[in-house]
Amino acid sequence: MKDSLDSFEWISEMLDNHQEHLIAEKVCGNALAEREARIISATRGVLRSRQAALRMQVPVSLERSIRMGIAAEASARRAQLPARPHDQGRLRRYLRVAGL
Amino acid sequence: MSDSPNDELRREFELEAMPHMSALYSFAVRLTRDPDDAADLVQETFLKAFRFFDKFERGTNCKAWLFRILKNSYINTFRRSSKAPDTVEYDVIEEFYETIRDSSVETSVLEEQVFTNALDDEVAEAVSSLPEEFRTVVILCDIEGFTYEEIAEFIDCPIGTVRSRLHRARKLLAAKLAGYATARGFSTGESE
Repeated sequence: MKDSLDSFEWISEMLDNHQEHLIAEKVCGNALAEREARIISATRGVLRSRQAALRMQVPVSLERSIRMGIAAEASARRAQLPARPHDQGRLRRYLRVAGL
Repeated sequence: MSDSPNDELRREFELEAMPHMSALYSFAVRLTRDPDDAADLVQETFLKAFRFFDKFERGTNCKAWLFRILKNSYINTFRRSSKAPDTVEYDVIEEFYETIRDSSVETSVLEEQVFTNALDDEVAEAVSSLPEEFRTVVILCDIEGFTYEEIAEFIDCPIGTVRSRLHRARKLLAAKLAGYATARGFSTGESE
């Protein structure tokens, strides 16, 4: 029984490939397959029609914390970057003026 | 003063990756079944993604790339520390599915009513109650709209496995939803 049930996987695949018309042809005259197609199609429809409700709002605190984490990461990276040529010139001038 | 390459990278990351935060968070909540764990997982995902953003191939699917990072982080960090694996009596649920499929729901009209009358909370609960391997494919396919190929790549398994898990997941959901309908007093039997 389980094997025959699993053999209906093609119903899901055809639904996902937008081939409903082929399903109708293929299940025609097979009551078991027809019923399986109806149930799977309805279940899939329920999920897809409620995508928005099933998605969750990102908590503001999480978004803020991610943005801060990324900013910290970026600033840590910036600190590791070698100084740009004009920064090096500025530093050299500073050291010269300071007599170092 | 001109922006450093680092500033440009950060701006690009904000444009490309940040808009997917909501989808990733939803997936993480359903995956971990805990909002705090989900928040940690999403934060870890975004920080990792930013760290490796220079390796991200421009023009490819950023959302898919982020989901892959999230799934790997989940496997490496969260699932390893989870106390108990999913234990679901598949046979009991499948048996129930067979009951509704074979006899209880008499007409296609009633079947449709069972599903369209489902409450949002019931649908969410039914999804959350699925074993992890089924929950993952159903969320990625039916809620996030990924293709079988993309899902196979995320979860690192053949497309045939995705197809069979997805079909089975939908059958389990059908059984759950019919169960909720019955519990609410909605008749799935003879005419009303």
